[in-house]
Amino acid sequence: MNCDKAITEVYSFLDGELTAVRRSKIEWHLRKCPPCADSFHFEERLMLLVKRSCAGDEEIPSELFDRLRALLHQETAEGTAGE
Amino acid sequence: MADQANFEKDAMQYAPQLYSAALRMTRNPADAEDVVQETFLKAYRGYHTFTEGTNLKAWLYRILTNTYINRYRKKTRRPQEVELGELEDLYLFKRLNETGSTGGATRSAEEDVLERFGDDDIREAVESLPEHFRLPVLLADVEGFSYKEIAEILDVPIGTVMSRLHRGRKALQKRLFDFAKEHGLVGPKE
Repeated sequence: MNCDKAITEVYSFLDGELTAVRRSKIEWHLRKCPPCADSFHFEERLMLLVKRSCAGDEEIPSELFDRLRALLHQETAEGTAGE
Repeated sequence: MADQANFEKDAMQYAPQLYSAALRMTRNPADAEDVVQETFLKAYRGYHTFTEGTNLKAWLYRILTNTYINRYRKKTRRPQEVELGELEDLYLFKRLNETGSTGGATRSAEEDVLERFGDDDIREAVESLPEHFRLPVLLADVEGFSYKEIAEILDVPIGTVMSRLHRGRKALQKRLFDFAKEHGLVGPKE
């Protein structure tokens, strides 16, 4: 495992999509290579920021929630009526 | 086969997440509400086709995504497929490192710059991505779906998911770097 190879797999690694063997090879490289470890950590940090920023702090409007329920009840009633 | 009578009990718990995802896709509350409503209606009507014990959340996201694409793809111009060309790996990390705007080679210097972005800045950068990049990034980073699940939701091969996700993340990094330059969060090395 060299730096270039490790870096091409940074996202698969952070996304948890590597096999255990592949994963441990990268982990081993990161322990020996602080620059790569820094860059992996940076990518991970950015992914977490994206998650935090985009995972809605906007709540679902209660009016929409009620409308969905009403819609489902209406569908159910229509379905039953048609039987 | 899933029983329609259980739909409300099974699916309503995902309404808040679906609404939030719809907001990121449509970029406006009125459209997000429409997409979510249509999604629930379609999901309810098709619930008998859902295989119980499989991933309901992914199934609902698939309907949500299709609903969004069918409604809005026509309206928007064809996404700029080659807009960015190929960006190098670790795009933002390397740019920040080069500009040296972080005031030294301390271990977390590049990460300090990340802290200068507000949540709104990052959200706007994500929302500005073309759709074929935005959806995989949202599904992976925000919703936490696996590559396989994203492939099923978007109905594309896993290799396509990986390619779009990786390119989408780099495109996002370019937007963030451009934003940082414009707003003086980074500067050229003295």
